[in-house]
Amino acid sequence: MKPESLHALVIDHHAGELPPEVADLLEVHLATHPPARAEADRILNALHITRRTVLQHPELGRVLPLVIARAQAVPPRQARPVWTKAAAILTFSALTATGGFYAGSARSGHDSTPSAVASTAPIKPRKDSPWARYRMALDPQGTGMQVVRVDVAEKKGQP
Amino acid sequence: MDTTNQPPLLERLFTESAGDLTRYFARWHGGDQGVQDLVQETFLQMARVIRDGKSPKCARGYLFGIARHLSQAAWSQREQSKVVPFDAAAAEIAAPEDDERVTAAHETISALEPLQREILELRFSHNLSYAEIAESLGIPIGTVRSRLHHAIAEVRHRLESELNP
Repeated sequence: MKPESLHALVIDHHAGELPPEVADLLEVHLATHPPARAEADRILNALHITRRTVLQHPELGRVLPLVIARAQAVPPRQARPVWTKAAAILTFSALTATGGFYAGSARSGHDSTPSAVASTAPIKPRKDSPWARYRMALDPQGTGMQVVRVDVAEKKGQP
Repeated sequence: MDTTNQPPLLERLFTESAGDLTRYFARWHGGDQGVQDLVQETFLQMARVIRDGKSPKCARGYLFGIARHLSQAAWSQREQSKVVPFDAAAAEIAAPEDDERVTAAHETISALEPLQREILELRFSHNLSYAEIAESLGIPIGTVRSRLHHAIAEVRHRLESELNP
């Protein structure tokens, strides 16, 4: 007989949960097999200690619904090794640093800080923009504003 | 349901289980008058169950299931209101000194899951059968059996490894 089977049978027999014919067979087996008898005695010893402990400590059996719900609801957390957290932190830092480096490199040629915007240097129209060829100017006849082509104005000697 | 069978069932349950229920509540709460109130409330709820035509598979187990809920509710209420236990002295009646085997077993049982500890309590303190424990806790009999076997195996393993290294 396997030790696991004997363990279960001895406990069930002690609890009176075995059918009579199975209980009889178990008793015969234990009577004719001294090693099994010794093993059964060790199981019964653990059972009696367990029973004695439970009787002496009623607080062990006081289980509140909250505790039961928590035990059933929360799955056991798997302990993650420390190196996985360290690897995650390093990866995040590396990505952040790389992104910051490229962003800084791309922006270094076009300074758009307020001081640059407020510069007093004359504004030169960008050649790649269609609006570079036009500018707003006052109508010399006093009728209001007008849009003047830059190249035409330069030909006429206007500022 | 035949109403003529109701009183005998309740009477039989009361005769068989009133003392057990008193001990059950006393282990939870200590005491005296409060415990008797809980016992009465348990039978009152059982009477309602019978009156409503429900027929639990295991009446005694069902009765302990009611007692369990009442006991937990009373304990929670008492913890919230911080009222003194029913009879603190009675709760400390049987407290012989532990030997090292009981101490080791206590540590092992404390680490078991709550359901397993309840099974041990109902089996060893109140001598409930597997079927009654299953009905009381609302779980299959096989679960009761396997958890009980596992708990005792854990205690045995602890005792043998610690006391006979």
